[in-house]
Amino acid sequence: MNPTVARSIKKLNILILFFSILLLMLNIFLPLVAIKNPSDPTQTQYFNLNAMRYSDEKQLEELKKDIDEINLYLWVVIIIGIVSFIGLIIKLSNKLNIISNLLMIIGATNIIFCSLSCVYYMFFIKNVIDLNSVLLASIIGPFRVSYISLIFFILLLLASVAYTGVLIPSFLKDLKKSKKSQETKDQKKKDKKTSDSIETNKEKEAVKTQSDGKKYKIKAWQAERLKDFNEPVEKQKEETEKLLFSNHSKKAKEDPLEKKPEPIIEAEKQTKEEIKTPFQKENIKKPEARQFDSETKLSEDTKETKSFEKALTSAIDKKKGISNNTKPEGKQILPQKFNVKCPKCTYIFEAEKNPEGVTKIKCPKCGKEGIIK
Amino acid sequence: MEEFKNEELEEDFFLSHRQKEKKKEKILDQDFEKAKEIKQNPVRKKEDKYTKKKPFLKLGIILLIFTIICFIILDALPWMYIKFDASNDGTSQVEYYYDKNFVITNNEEQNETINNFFESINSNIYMGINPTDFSSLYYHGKYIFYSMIAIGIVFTIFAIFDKKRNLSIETSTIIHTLFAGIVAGLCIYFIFLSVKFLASVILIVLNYRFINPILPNLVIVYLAPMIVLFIMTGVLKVTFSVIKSNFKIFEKIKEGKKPKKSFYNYGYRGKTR
Repeated sequence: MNPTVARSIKKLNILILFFSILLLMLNIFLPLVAIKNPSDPTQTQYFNLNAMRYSDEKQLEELKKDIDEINLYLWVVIIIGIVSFIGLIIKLSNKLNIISNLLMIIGATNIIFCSLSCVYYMFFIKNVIDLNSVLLASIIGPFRVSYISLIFFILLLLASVAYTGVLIPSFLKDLKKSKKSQETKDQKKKDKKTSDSIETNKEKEAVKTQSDGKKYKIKAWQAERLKDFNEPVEKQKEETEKLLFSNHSKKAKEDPLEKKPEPIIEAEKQTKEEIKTPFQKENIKKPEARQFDSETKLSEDTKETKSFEKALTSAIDKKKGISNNTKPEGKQILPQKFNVKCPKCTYIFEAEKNPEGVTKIKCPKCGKEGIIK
Repeated sequence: MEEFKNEELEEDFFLSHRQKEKKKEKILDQDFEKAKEIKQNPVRKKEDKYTKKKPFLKLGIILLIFTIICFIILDALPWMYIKFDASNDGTSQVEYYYDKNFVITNNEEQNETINNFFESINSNIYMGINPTDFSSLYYHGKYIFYSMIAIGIVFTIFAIFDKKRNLSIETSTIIHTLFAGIVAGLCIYFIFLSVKFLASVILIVLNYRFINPILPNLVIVYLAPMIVLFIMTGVLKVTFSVIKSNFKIFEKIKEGKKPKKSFYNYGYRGKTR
């Protein structure tokens, strides 16, 4: 849900709750009706809801029933208001979406109870006016007290109408968005599957051609590499022996820690550099050096080719895996939000910029058109 | 020759060992220097205001405190104080304190149950309150407070559990709002019951013409119900503010960072400013 929409829903919900609680209290608190004393018409006796309950007059009892019914509706409005508020909070948490949606929809039903209570209160006023013996209570001047609550009832109704007016379109938008996102996800999945199948076929073909055509080259390179792999070890042995025997007397004086890098490492570096060259040229991924250990010095050609093929396939698989991981799954480039100041009226408003291309914007206050680059 | 070779090998071994030790020392020195720098200039990690803020979890304790206070008030304080002139001259005044069971506490002789405040007039119509309202308020209020105490205990246990297990913000706030919503409903119900007393005060003022000839200079104060009513409105306010704060937490999480400001990239009709 859009945070601005959520904020407006929250405000309207608070308004509904406030008005409903206030009206409930006013219905008990205010003296709603009055009866003129038959002996002395200047004296009027006031009745609130509780006083109406204890009176013996039938007319007041009927009026009291109307107010009780209105209070019941108001109670329903309060409970629904609290429930919908909780639903709104759950909705914002992006958890328990079904429950939150259900609670919010229940909140939308408030309009029915609000309108019912408003209508019943109007009927109550009309009934009191129709009665000759009972009057609408007025504390200060001619203004009737029950009209105060009528104003609040109308405000409550308006708030509930606005609440449903904001809630239902946002729900429909969310539904549309969710449908669209599902469709796009499905399409992407399908595209991925097709592209992957095509890629795998192509790669297999390429590997086959490369492996068949350049088998001879690879074999030659392997033989050279194995030679190089053995040479540095022998060289290193010789060099160390030489160093040990020739510079034995000097070693004690010299700091042994300031030694030059060992010849083994240099030799290894050389071999590594040599290993890289044939594959870089041919755009084939380098196989791991450890797969060709001294134990697997293959005298037979068949063994060499099999191991090398295995290495190639593993390298391709790895490459594929990396490429699949690097691809953004279902990520959409979202439009950036900017606060934009209108040059004409200096009104600051929020605008969304498309990530691709130029976006046209219009000032909501003065209507000046512009472009964000 | 063999002995010589062995000696050489031993020497090499010691040399390599020393090399390793020197490397270790170097690494340790570097780490020590880094630690020193961090100690001298501690870098404070900027905490995300939106993600790491948990809801106010002391609602349970507040509830417990307030409900216990309310219980004490309802049991200890007198529910009604009445003062009126016994004679028309205004020389002698009568004062009564009524408790929750509508028994006069300051006069041991009048310990009878009363169905009407004043036997001479039908006070229920003029005052808009009946002795049964007292008993009903106490009866309903008792259960409301019991349930609120239970909610308070459960909520404090939940808060402790949340602290130990470190639950996610979403779950803790949802549970928090649920509890707050139930408490709000109970508070509204109690206010609905106790507003009668406030309404009766207004009705007495309005119907003073009818009451004054029989009970001159009548003064009525509903002590305990009024105090508890105000406390419960305060609790209601707290619960609603808690719900609002929970909403704000999610709102801030959803909004995240504020949108960037770009006053200089703005142009209109194809021309940049």
